[in-house]
Amino acid sequence: MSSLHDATTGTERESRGESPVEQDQPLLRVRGLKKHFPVNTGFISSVKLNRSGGFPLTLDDTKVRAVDGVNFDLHSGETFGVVGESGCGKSTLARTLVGLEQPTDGTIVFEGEDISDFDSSSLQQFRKNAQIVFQDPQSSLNPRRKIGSIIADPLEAAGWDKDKRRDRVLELLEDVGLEEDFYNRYPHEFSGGQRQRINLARALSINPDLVIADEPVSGLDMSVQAQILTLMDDLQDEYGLTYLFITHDLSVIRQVADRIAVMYVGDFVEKAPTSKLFAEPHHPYSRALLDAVPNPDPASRDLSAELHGDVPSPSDPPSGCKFHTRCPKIIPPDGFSREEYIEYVTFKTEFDERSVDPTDDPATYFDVSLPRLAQSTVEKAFTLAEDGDWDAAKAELDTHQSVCETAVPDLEQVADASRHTSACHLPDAEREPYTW
Amino acid sequence: MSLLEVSDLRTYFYTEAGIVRAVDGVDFEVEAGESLGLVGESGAGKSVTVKSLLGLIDVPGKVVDGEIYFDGQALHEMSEQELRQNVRGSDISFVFQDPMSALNPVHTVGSQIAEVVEYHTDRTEAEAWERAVTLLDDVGIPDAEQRADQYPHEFSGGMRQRVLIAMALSCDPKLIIADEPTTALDVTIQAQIIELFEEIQEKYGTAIVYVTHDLGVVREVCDRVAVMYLGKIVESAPYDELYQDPHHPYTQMLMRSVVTPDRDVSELEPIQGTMPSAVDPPSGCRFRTRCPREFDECGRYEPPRIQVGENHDSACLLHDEQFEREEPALHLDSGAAETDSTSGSRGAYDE
Amino acid sequence: MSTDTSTNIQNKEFETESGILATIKELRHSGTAMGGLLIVSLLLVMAIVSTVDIVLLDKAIIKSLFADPHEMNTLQIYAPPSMEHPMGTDQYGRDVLARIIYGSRVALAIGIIAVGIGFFGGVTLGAFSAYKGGYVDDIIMRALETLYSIPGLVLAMTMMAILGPSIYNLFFAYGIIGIPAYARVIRSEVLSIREEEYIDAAKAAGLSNYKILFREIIPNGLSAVLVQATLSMGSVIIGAAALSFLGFGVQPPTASWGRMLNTAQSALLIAPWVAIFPGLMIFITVMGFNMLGDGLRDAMDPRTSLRSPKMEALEEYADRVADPTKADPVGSDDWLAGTALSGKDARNDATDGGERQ
Repeated sequence: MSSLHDATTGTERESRGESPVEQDQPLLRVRGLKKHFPVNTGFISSVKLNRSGGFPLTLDDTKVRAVDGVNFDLHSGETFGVVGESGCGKSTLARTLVGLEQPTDGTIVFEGEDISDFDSSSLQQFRKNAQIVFQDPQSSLNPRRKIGSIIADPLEAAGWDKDKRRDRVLELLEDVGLEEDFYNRYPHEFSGGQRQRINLARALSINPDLVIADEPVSGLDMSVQAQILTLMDDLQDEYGLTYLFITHDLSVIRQVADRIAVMYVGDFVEKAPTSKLFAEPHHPYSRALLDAVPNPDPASRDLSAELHGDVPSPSDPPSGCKFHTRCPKIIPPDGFSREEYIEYVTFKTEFDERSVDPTDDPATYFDVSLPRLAQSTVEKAFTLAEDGDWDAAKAELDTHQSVCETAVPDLEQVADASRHTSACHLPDAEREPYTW
Repeated sequence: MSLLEVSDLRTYFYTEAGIVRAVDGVDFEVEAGESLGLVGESGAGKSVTVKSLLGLIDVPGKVVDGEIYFDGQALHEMSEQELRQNVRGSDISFVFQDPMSALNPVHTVGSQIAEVVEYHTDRTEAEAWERAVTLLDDVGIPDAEQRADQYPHEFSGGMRQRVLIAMALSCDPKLIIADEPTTALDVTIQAQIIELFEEIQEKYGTAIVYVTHDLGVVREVCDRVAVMYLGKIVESAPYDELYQDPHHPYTQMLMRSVVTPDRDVSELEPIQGTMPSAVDPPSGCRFRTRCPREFDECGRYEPPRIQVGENHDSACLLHDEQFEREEPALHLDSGAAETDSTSGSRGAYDE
Repeated sequence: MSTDTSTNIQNKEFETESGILATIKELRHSGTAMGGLLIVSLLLVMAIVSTVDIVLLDKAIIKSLFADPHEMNTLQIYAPPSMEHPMGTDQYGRDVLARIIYGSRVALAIGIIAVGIGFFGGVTLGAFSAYKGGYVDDIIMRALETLYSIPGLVLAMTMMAILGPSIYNLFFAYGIIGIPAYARVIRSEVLSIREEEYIDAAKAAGLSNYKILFREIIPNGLSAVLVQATLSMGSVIIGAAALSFLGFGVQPPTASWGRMLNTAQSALLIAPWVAIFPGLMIFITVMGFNMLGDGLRDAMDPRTSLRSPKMEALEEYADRVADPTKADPVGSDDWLAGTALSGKDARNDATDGGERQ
């Protein structure tokens, strides 16, 4: 087993981060991938009472848009990281890619073959070449089975016979740093870190080309995290693996990924090589994320919490750029300063949620004073809402809108860096350089 | 005299598997207005330590020894009732890790805070409610007046944690004990809560004992830090000093194994093995089974906490001159490593 | 972490004995489980011997040991317990003890067969229904609920009126009646287990649905059903008695505890022994199955050990002392794990929206 000190030097890792050799054909090519979950299943439960006038019954077809149009290429041998907070859809992405969920839309091409429809034969073949490591080391192992048998599952599914399976499992146990004797033990006899090793062994058993790791170290203690990450690194070298690494932890992803995609409410908002993302983050969300990471080094910059409010619900995301409700850099429409417009947008969100009482004095909802035009709009909206016509009130408020609310930004190249894309309307001229 | 003085605290759990010595001789002090971080891996005993202070240890656990002086009062001698009436919630309050389970789902958030206020102060029901709304506003919950009437499940994780903090502040405590309050939160939400803690310290001058495993959080919130291992404090120092000049081998190894944003995987040096069982800890120094510097005497004598700097002590025999061992000169280069860090300077310790 | 590279893989015994043997060995460690096993075994022996006796040997054994259970003796009606009749005699002068022993046939038969039908039928239907979901689930569960809503006795009587009053139909009837209860229990277990991550892992590994259902899901859901099964033993025995009383099922002079209990009601004041002993036997049988069931449930779960934790900890300690160079091979990060104090590690907790996925 290779020593724990990786022989690669700093410079080598840097070059790895910049641009791994691009083959003609990426290992995995994903285009327009969507996964929506209907909130109400079945016809009968979708029928709801319509309170806002008109036909009393309506079909409620709200969907949780967990993954809402994702594109990326994955090249052989690289580690592609997807980072985002809860509710962004990264776990659903992982599950859809590995076949546990049927995509609602989009294409997935693996090793040249289109497997988007996931019929059973292509799925079977896919499973021999792509495996997944789950997040929770406790619940991802059947407590009633011995781990030796669990690790051999992919082999069993692929049709290996019993003896060969056993030999392979023993080999794997050694590869992941566990003792052979553990073959007959049960999952509860192991610590979290050891269970993750077992998960890794299971994923690697059929020698896949692609391993999707869904938060593999999130449930572990700090020192154990380091052990597992080092192990994954070694295994990648030894087996020639490609990783799709999903996590919410920026420190972790910086260690392991060559390229990173930042995910927010179902979309990739920025994609870049790791070093680029940490040196020159483009999207305001990426910046906010980086700013929020606490760094133990007392000489480094302090963290700052720039985002106000909560993550929007994926079943009813904001219009246009989904991040606009929390963006500290929102482009204000004419007549507003940025500060004023941020207040206005926050107010609009609260209004949508009906947590505003129309009988109150509008001024109580704002910390800064709005431009006069906006004040009269708000007053008009309050009057309408007091009468019960919330839809018209909302429309009134929407007479002031930012481009960030009306137009969905596409992932576009940042400056002249072809591999760095970001989805934001803010013109380059208005960006400040970033200091980490 | 310090606000909080803990000496020789011992909390054992009497289980059928044996006596678990979760906290086995812990001493520390917290001055008024100061914030102390308690760090360590899981199983080190950090949670048990802070729960012992407030008498929150249940059967089969028991605080078997030690003295806890808070503001001159002897907490270890107080009865359950006295603690409840005079200390918990009023002078010392507790912020738990999981806000959902710490909040009663069938009562509104406002009423839960008001309840605490009513119990500990003379305020009337209406006054207590007013206070609750004010507190919710102080901790950054928008539209506090309306939201005080809502139930815990109507709040997001970060908001719930703010509610817990509001509850902790309700009776102007002198000390807040926070047990991993941000571990379960997303990083941007965690940042908000960290800033809230900093604000609280500035505004109210409350002392804080902050239990966590995340050194980055300690850096932001805490003035001083104590590192725990298997029921004992192995090193304590002002945070900056601990980071730049760790003395105890465990702390040093911890520093080297921690994943931080500016370090590469290749630089990580994971600590070998796992923490031994607290039922049957190693004799002498408890860390010796994983320590690269172990020598014979380590198994025979339990190392006392030895002063290695002003306000900085470390419990390791290497610091004791009589053993005449070369102390490892381990210094971590601080200065955030830029992306162009080269292979030579790992920012590493040189042995 | 040491790796034993010098060992020849072929020589190691990795597959331990089959699950059944391992489970029985595990049972050894618990007093109550062994007690239960003892009782059940005794009953089995009684039942088997009685069957052999009546079928092949023309009651030779029982006659030589005690008395003929079917022999009436009008001179000895309601005789109290004595040397000749250790449990007294019933209203026809028949020896109660002999009838008790013969009665074990019916009791065990009804218990095992009826509960068996209910158990296997219910588990299969319920698991299948839950796993398929959708319309299939709806249809099956509605059908079972309809069955469930009809009072058991009435249903059994109806079935036996249609099929005929033989004892085999009695077993069948009671078996069918029991299915809904098991189906519901296993269904709710399957529904929650289905969401566990290890099921996803099994799917991702490519295992077939069939395998997943039977190897991953059902074993984890069985413990709840097992308890249900042991508890139904008693009610089934008594239910059979009620039927017999009404003229269905067991016909006199066949010995059946439930029947004996029923007919003894009128004689409680003058000859209590006629009620006490059958009642006691039913009680012991139900207890025995319960104890065994509890023990089995714990023995089947690898997480719980029937050995006293002290013993286990001591054994582990002895291992470590013997070879101190080994780092703790199954050491736990959390010394509280496995004790009553271990809550789930909060970071492993799947919390609701807002916190980490």
